[in-house]
Amino acid sequence: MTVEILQGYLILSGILFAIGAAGLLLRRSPLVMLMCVEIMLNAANLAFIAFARYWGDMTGQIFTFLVVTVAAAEVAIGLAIIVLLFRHRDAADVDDVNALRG
Amino acid sequence: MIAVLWIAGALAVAGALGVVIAKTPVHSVISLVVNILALAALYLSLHAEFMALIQVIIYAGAIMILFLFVIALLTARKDPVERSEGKLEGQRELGIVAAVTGAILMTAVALSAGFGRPVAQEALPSGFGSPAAFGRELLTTHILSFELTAFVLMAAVIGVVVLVGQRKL
Amino acid sequence: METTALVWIILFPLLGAVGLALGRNRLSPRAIGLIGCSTVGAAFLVVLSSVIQLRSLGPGEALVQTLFTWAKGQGFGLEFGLLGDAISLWWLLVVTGVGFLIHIYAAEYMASDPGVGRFFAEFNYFVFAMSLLVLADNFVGLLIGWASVGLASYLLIGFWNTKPEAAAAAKKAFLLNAIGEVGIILGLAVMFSEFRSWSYAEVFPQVSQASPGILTAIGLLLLVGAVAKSAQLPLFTWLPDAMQGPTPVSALMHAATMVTAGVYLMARAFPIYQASPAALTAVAWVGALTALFGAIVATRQFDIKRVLAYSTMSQLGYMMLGAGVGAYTQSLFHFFTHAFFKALLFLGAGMVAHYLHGEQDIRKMGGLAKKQPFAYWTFLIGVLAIAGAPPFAGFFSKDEILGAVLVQGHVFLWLIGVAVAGLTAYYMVRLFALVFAGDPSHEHGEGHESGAAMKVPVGLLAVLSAVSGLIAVPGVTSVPGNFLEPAFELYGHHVPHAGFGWPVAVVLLVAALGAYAAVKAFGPGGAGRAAAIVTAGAPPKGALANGLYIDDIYQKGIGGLFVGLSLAVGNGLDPYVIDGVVNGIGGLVKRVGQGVRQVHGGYLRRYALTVFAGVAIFLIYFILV
Repeated sequence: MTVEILQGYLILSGILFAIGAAGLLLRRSPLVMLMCVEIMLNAANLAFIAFARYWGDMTGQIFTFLVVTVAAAEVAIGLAIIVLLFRHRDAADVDDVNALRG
Repeated sequence: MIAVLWIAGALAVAGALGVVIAKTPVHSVISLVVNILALAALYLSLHAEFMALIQVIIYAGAIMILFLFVIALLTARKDPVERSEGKLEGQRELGIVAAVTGAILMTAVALSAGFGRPVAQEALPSGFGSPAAFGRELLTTHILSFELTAFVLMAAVIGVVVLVGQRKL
Repeated sequence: METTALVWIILFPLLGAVGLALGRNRLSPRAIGLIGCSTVGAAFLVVLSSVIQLRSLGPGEALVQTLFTWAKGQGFGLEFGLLGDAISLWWLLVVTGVGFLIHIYAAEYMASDPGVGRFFAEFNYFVFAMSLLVLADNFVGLLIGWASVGLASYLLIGFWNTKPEAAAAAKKAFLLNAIGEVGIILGLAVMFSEFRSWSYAEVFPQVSQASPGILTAIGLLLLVGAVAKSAQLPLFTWLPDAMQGPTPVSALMHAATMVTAGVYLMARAFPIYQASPAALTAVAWVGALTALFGAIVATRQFDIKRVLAYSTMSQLGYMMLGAGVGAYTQSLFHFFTHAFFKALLFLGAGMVAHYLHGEQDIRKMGGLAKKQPFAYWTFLIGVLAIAGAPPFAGFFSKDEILGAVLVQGHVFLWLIGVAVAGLTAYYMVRLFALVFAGDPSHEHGEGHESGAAMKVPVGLLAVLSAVSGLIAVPGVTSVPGNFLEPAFELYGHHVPHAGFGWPVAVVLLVAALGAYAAVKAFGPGGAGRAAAIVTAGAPPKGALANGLYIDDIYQKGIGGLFVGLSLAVGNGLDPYVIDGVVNGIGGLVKRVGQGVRQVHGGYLRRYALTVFAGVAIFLIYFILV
């Protein structure tokens, strides 16, 4: 595996990350936004695994595993919050929810 | 390897774009599944067999099903969101600019940084990325992280129950 | 150390002031007068017992009482205590003694005033402040008393606070005294940098090691304070205006408290002045010129109280002159006798004004001798005393000062002093003649007779004015010398003395000439009298009668400068520059806030954008560095 291939993987990772971020910034559906977060996490995972292969070190893969676990937990909590949002405020649009304002 | 990178990479990008562009959440979920499967293929090409499996089973199998459940529960009888313009002025333009800038910058970082010497195909430890090697590594070197992950999951479970569990108010 | 009751000299009037201030609306005027007089009387008794106690000590020893530690620092501490030596007890005899008599007089004089409770609270506070000034054993305590006296004078001069002139006079007194306080504070700063202490007992022994320049600086700065407080040139303008207060206030201020504080400061800080010939000379010249100036201006005044005010200024000039030639005993003795006859004159003037329903223009008086025989006789004693007729009090004290001036070799100062003696006789006799002699120049109607509470103190003061000079007849008695001089010899100063001799005859001759001229001009049928009565009611004209217009120079010059400056600031600087900056800052913050509000609107996607922008910045940094 050459540096050029590694760079290809990393660029792909960056592009995926940027797409996920774009979705997060542009979409207003909380469900889709959560999915975009998953895309971003996966993009990071790809970079981890590419580096793991490049340096022949398993740690990158282990870290990916941990990220997947945390992502699962995050999705569970995120979906729970979305359910609550729908239940209490009938909100399908995050712009309608601005209670973060102090 | 390069062929896999190109094909699977293109699929992954297409899936990701599909998530962002799709009008209805169900389409987004399907696009995300495509993205995840493509990534699994990329993982395989990088000698991460176990992670590819995990990617398919946990992401495509569990998390996406969870998404579908929630969509079925909440939005099946509702019109799609984003009928109107968002409330934030200039958010669309700024978001696109930010995303493109981010992509360019990350590409620049990938091309400019030094990464040291790669490990040759032959020099990889035997069973690199296999479930056996992965399990040995996880339960010896990274046992503490493994245990802490258990706590994270426990907290998530309790959190979900607390948040959406039916209570008599 | 023996136990002393010094603190009660301060506490009695203070308690009276506080009690009267609290009960001023509940107590009857009679009770108020009783309380006000009794506290000062009690203080007087404590002073008397302290004097007896002091006599039992050895020469140079003093009563001391440490009250509390006021400040403590690295290599520096300020113990706040009281010092009852000969100088301060001498002063307190007058402050509380004459003050007591004036309180009794005021109890009747002010009885019908609705603000009598406030008056006596402030009156007692005045005595308290002066006692504190005199009793403090350090310069800081003196300064506190000094400022308190200034406050009390402000309150009392402006006692009739609905009168605009009274309020203006009170402000003027306070402001001019503030100038003096600044001088003292600066003097104390120099003193501390040199001696590392403000305590009398620590500063004075070190004086001999200090450089003459430093001592001169301290002396001149303290002199600024004394000039303001004792109404010396050029900071005297508040004193004639201070007549706006009730007459007992004028009497107390001129005789016992307030104006004599400057002389006290000169006497108290005598080791510094004795070590600095330049400062001492300045004191002597300020005193002599003020004496001359006050006497000249007094000859042209028509308001009975203004004549007495300028006369006080002139007499204080004598005291400063005495201090300025090192004749502290004589200076303090003159303070002692002056307190009696000046209080007598003011209280007598108050009786006259009381009788004439508040009339103070002497051109409208005349012929009161028959209608007011008591006031006539007592006032006559006062006039004789201040004019220096033997054997009344002023003769001995004034001649002792002038004798000492000559002994010290200041011939020119002596000549000024002699001229002042002649002028004093002239303007006092002029005043007396216009008020009491001849026929009434205007119809007065039926007068308002004074009661016993006013007559008894006046009578007592008349007796004291007549005989108090006899305690210091040169060669025969020397009570002030015996009492006071150990305190001055403690720091190695020997007070010069002059006996009887030809200079006394010269002074007497000049005074007699002055008195004769006044009788000739202002006696019944005199030319000056007729000319004066014609102008009755009009303000006096001429530079001399108006105090050389110094007051106008202050008002229009310095005052006008500040008014102009204030207008410029108020109309130009404040609305445009200051408000511009303030409003500009406010507007800037508002605009920034409006911008920042967009970021912090509670919208999740905006937060995400912000975070992403931050990530982008970090990436740029990573690439560039």
